[in-house]
Amino acid sequence: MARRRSRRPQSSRLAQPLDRVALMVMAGLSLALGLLILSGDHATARVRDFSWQDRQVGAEDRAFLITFSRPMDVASVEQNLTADPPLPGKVSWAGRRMAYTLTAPLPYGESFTVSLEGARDRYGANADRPGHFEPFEATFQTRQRAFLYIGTTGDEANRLVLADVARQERTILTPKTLSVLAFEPYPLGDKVLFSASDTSQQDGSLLNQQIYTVTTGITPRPPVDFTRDRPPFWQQVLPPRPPVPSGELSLILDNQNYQNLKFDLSPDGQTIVVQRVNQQDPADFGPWLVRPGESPRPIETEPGGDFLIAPDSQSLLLLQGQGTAIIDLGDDVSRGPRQPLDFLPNYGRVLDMAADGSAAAMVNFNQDDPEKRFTESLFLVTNQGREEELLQVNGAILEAAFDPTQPVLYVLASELIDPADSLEEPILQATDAYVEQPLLLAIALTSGEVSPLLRLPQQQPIHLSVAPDGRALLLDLAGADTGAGAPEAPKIWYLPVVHQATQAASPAAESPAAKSQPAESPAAESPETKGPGAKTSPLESADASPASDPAATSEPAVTPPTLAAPEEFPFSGIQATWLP
Amino acid sequence: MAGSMTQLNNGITLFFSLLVEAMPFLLIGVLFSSVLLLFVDEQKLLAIMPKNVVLAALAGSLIGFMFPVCECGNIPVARRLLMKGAPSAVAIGFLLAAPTVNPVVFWATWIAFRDQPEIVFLRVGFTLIVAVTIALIFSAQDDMRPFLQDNLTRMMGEPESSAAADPEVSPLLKSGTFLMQSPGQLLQLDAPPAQVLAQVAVAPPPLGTRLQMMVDNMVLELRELGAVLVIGSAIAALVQVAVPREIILGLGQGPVTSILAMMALAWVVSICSTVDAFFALSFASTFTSGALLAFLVFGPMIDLKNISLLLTVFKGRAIVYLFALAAQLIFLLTLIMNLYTS
Repeated sequence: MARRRSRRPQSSRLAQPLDRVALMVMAGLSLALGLLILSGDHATARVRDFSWQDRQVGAEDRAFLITFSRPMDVASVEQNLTADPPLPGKVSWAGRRMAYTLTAPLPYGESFTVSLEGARDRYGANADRPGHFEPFEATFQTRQRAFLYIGTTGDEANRLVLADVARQERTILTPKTLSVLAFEPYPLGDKVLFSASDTSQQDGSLLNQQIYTVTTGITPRPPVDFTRDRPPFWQQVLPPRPPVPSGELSLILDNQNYQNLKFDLSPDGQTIVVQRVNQQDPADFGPWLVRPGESPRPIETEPGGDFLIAPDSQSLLLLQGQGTAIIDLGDDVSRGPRQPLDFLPNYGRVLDMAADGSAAAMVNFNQDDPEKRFTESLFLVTNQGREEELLQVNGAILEAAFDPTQPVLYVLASELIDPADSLEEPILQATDAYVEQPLLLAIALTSGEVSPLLRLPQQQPIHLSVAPDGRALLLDLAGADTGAGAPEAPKIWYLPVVHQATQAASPAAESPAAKSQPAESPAAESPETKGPGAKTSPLESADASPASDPAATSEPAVTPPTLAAPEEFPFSGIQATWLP
Repeated sequence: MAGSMTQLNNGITLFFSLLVEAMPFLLIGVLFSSVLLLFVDEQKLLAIMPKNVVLAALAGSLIGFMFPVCECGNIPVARRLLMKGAPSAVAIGFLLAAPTVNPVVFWATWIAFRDQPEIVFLRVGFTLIVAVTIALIFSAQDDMRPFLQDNLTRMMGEPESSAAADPEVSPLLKSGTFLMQSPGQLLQLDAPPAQVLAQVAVAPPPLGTRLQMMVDNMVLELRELGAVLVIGSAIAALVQVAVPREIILGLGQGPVTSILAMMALAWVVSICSTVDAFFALSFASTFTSGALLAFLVFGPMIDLKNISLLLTVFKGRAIVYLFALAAQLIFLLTLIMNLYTS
């Protein structure tokens, strides 16, 4: 339209100043446009944003995003995208964004490099000209392989210790005056919530525990959660806060008027539930809710026993009477007594819940069935209402933990055995006819297949912790009673997990050995036979086997995993728990 | 048969989604416009206009921050500015920039393109560049009357007298039945009481009455602009059903043609500037940032729908200049962006 108008002869009708200026400018612009188009395309496509750039990702992070500056030729990107070590996953596109969803969880304590070269933008691909693409390379890390424990010997006694598996470093986090009783790490591993009694005080008895947090010295750099709202603009501009040194203590809940008995930290780190009892009035007993920025307040409900905060951080599973009540932890908790959301009458104990909240491992003490009396059953209760008995033992079900990455449940349970039937030497003098034999079992939840992993020495307590990447277990055992004097210091064992699916790729000769050897190992090997030299090496050799398997892409394992050779750490402690 | 039913369903879905998306923005626009009609004295607004041409053009472009109207609402206001004797730079700057450079559109664009914040700022920046440039070109003409419609020039009277006119001379905003009260002063008979009173009253009516009139005016403008919005949404839905996106994508394969395609789309679709960011977002996957910006800057300035509205103010020649200059400037800016940055 403009051209037609400008081709018209300059008649007197167009003699106005505006006509002259407008036509001149239009002609000039046409010239400039023509030159610009003839000069060709000089733009270079590039990666605008990589959502895991220099971040530390955890097991819960399953996908990253790459945003390009212009629409890309999808095939050229997918073919040229490389990662070192390889990252098995699936690609999906939404415009200029590419999402890469991992099919297998990443092993912790590693650094990954993602690079892309020779990709082409969509225009270049169509015009069959060499595309301009700025080569892209970025790195990200997975979180540290580290765990926490309460030390038992020497300087570490009753103090919280952070052990870094890769660097083989140990850091004592809490001061000498605090005797740590229980602890739970925050979701990013930057802080630990713990209860401790102050031994420097007159009343520093076990009943006077207060609840604290302590920093671990780890500065989390989690990836930006792109499903949530972005942080405000000023937060993106401000420089990151300086790293916090380890060992910074702060008191969360004191013991004035109330004794603190037990606590649990919600998986999002925002809610703490503490079981408290009034020091003057023992009938004033029940769970309290502690949230940052709010004063602690009791949850108005029937008094209960053991409890666990559900993975959604919004509800509490509380043992009440003969069953388990599910109580809402929503905002209006203080408004009078509340009815439980749900009540599961048969289950006297909740051991663990799957991280996605889809299932819980619960114990039925079989009180109602005369035939099953004196046995305990482990049930899998799903949020669909399905209740499946996984295991029935005539001893006790001690602990259960879901594998965060596979449909596998690890169980510590004990069976009553007649020591005379046992092939081993009787460890206890058989004044009783039966002893309880603890076992470590793995149950594949898809098939219900139970496979015993280890027979454990007959000392309790035993504590189990599953690594967040599902590639190792930690087991701490009370020290063997040597008969003469004090018992041995408790030991922490490192058990690398070998999943069946991954095992297929590793040399086949290993598998029977791996299965048979650990069944005896902790029980058979007496701690004295281990030299100090042997104690330092385990970490690397155990570390290598789970990290080196590349075949995690295959079908999810239906069969229970097995264990590689367990290794013992050269220090002693209890309640060894992986950092998330 | 099944295919056409699907198309009809798609069209209706698109139509309603556009309508639902746009309605709240329109409501806000109508609210602001009514507040301004009754609570802000345009004379004082004009008195603070700078005398320098460039500053005047810039000021006109930025008035949108006080009159958050989409392109359906800005033409009557620009017309009122022209009739009040405002410099043509102010009026043209306002006409071209106000639909984009205003808080509502800025916010809507921000919501849509939050992960590409440069689109938001470049949209405002390019709009200001284009609007100021065209306003400067138009200010080459001291007397705009040869380019305005005859009935408008008659109402304006002589340029000298219009500048010194009685400040109570009221703008004529809409078509309708008019009463000539005195030379150059008109009263619209079928206008709502609010607008009549705003035109004839020497002293502002009491607050209660003004609020009542504001509500009346809101209802009127909502009905008027709502109808335009319904038609716009229907056209947009129709175009998207009748012209499959593959055709538009086919037009816009290269860095150059993609801009032309998006400008053509913006012109045809005539979507309101308060919601066009969401419309453009659906093309963000397949088009370059330059092409998206061409859509976002060009659409609010000139489109199918408001050419008919512009014809009530300007003669065809002026509209051609507006259209061609805007198209060329935007093409130039976004082409530089596509070919040299990215």
